[in-house]
Amino acid sequence: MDDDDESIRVPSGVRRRANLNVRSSDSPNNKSDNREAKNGKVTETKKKAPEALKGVNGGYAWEDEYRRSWDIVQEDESGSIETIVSGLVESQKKRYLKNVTPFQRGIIRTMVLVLDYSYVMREKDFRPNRSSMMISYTIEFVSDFFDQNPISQLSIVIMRNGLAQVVSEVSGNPNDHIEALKRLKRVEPEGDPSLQNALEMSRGLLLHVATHCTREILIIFGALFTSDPGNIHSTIQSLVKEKINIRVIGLTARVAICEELCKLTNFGDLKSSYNVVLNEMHFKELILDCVTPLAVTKAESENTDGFTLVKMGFPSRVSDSEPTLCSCHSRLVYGGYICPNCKSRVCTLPTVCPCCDLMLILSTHLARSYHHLFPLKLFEEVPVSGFYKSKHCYSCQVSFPKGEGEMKKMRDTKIDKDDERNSSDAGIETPRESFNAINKHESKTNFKNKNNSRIKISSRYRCTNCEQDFCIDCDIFIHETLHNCPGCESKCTRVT
Amino acid sequence: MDAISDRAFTETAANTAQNIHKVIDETPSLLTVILDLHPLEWKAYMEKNDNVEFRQVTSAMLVMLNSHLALNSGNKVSVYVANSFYHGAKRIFPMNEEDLKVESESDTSIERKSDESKQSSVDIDENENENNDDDDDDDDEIVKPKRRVVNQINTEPSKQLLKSIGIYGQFKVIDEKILDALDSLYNDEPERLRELISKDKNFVKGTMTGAISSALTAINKLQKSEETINMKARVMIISVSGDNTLPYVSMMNTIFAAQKMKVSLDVCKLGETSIFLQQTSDATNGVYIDIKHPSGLIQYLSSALFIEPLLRPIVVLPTNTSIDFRASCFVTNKVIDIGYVCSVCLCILSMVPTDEKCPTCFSKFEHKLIARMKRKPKVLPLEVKKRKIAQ
Repeated sequence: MDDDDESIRVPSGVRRRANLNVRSSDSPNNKSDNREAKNGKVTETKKKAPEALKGVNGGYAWEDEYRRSWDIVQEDESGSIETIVSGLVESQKKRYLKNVTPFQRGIIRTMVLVLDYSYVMREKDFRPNRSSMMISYTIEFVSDFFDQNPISQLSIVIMRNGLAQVVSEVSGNPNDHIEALKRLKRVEPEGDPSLQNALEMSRGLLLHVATHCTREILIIFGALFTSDPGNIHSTIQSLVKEKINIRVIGLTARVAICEELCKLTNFGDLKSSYNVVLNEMHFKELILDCVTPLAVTKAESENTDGFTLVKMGFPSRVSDSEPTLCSCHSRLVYGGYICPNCKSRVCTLPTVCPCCDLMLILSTHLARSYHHLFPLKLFEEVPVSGFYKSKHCYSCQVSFPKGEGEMKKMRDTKIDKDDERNSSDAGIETPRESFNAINKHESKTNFKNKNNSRIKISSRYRCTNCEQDFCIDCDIFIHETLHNCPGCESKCTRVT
Repeated sequence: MDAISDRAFTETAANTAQNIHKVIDETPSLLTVILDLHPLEWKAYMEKNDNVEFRQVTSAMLVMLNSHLALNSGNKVSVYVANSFYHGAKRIFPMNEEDLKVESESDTSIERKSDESKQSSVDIDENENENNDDDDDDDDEIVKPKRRVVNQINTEPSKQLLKSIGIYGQFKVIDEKILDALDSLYNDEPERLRELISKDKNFVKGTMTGAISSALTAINKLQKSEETINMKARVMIISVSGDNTLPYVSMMNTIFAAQKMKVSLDVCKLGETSIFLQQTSDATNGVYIDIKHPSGLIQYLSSALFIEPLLRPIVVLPTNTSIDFRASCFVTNKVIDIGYVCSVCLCILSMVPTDEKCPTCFSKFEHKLIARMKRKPKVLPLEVKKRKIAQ
């Protein structure tokens, strides 16, 4: 029966997908959490509302009519369940559906990462416990952050024993932070968290940051309380004044003070700035969402002062047969990069030259941020129909499932193979008669499989520029890692 | 009896062989070769080097593919073409089964028709673009030598040589398929070229990034499917064209994607050195080699460019260690080592713009800051604390 339970959960995946299609930017499932802490009433209710429990109507699943897994899987006209099964499998893969309107973004970022390290983090609701999971996700976040924001800077602060402690100073080298986080693993979480102390500390760290950089604080907050030495509201006011953006990821429930904090520092935009995790996957999603640079607000982009031009050096790499000392760590290294300004040798990039303070960077590092500025358009899902023009995914060339009309045709017309081949070749240009027949057939099946009409999908996702079809795996890969449309790039004429 | 026992023997052998691969860390790998077919660049290259023919390059490539297959029974190969005027970028091996069926079964006349319709639709697009190519003055000459090459390839190697010599079956199949595909590509090419030339000088963009992108998606798919989950992969690019055919942003995107997937991009460069491709191979732990003696291409391909992904951490790669990482100015195209970067769009400038506006995103710069940057260094009378003053 275990297997059955598994498959019962499938429609929730479908639902999730449907929800995502509406482009609701926040997760649809934290409504219940909203409700819990609306009145500032912090209760000890469930930490997570598993999304499998959510029903269609927004209520809980137990208020819904019970649906058996075998009701969902129904045979189609041909008596085959292949199409439906493949549809189910595909619906579980989540498509990349982020907002892709090109925004002006603050590319050069300075962020302070505040980690809750109070006794509540010893709790074992995440395995093995909250703190170690938080640290492993944070390490991942740090490497992703520098991967996508190569010219940004980061600092890490923990809240422990009612104090704020700096774990790693503001720096642009991911290894510093990762080393520090690994050392932190050996420290036991203790005492109470103090939000005010942490905020004041991060404010101090962000004080000297140049105006062309963004100032951000990301807080991972496990507790439901904060023990502060003074009035936290005045701290919040000064944060607002200094244009510091604060995002909070709650591990337990929504807390009124965090809500206020996020609301005031994000121009009232609570949806993207304050979220409570539902489960481990959601935690990871939330923390990795913060890797994308924030869009610049209208007020900021219209500021009168103008933007800054940054002087940067593009050093060339040398390699020597004898090791020499680098000027940044005084370590013995073979080769390295030579600062074009003062000719000192540094071992890693990007960095600030320790001698002349020039920002040293590779031109490829700059290119890494381009996809935030020029995002790739989303692919459109091809509507379900009897016949499809494309037979296989354009880029990986794996065959698509056939359209229903085509399948039927293959069964029904057991005449000549060649004839049938020709008709499928023609694709959309099928004779009108057969097309009508297919339409009729389509509507009939739709009616019959009313339950699972949502499951039926074409498995094709089309680029609107080059009109090539891609499979779901390629779609995800293209939008998450590649940021290039293979179809558009493969065309020899320029796409207008 | 013999037949039966024979089969049983081979089957078990295959099974044990697979098991061994799982136990020892000798996982099969995929070799993807991307062949640059830019007709104009090939023509220029062949004129410079008299003793090189396209045929030699393809045969060297086939030798490399065959030897890769011979290393491990689970090894796979795939071949893409790029920069072809007619087809853009395309996978020529392995072809999708349905495509093959369609091609073999359908009459040539139908194919022609569909091709023509495709062409006309493309032509309409082209008419809208009015980008001019600069150096198309000696157009008619270009087509003729190409034809000659085509004819040479067309008849000799694929049809006669392969069928006459006794070679291992699998090699033969693959070689024939690849050569046939190249044949048909080249048969289309002169017509296409002529058409492009007659339609008043259209702009044709390079499609190398398209080929790499498709190759990476295919590798991604392969590494995610259950049968070939641990498959290692590498990509080798045989390139003749210069940097001007590579679109910068999409090239960088492919580099980062490959880096994330830990796929090495090796570059076998015929002709001029390419800075982008150097950076590509450097960022992805690949090999970059400028081929100085094209006649010995087989040697390059089967030694320096034949390093399995599993060996990469152990072997010292035969690649240059000093690489030009300097950037080029977006406005003047000058190569610079100290530049100014716009904080909004990250464009690189070689000097402070006179109108204090970013030339690409038109955002206005802060006047005070610009003034400070333009300030000339001053010699102070006393040895006070040295301050860094921007030029």
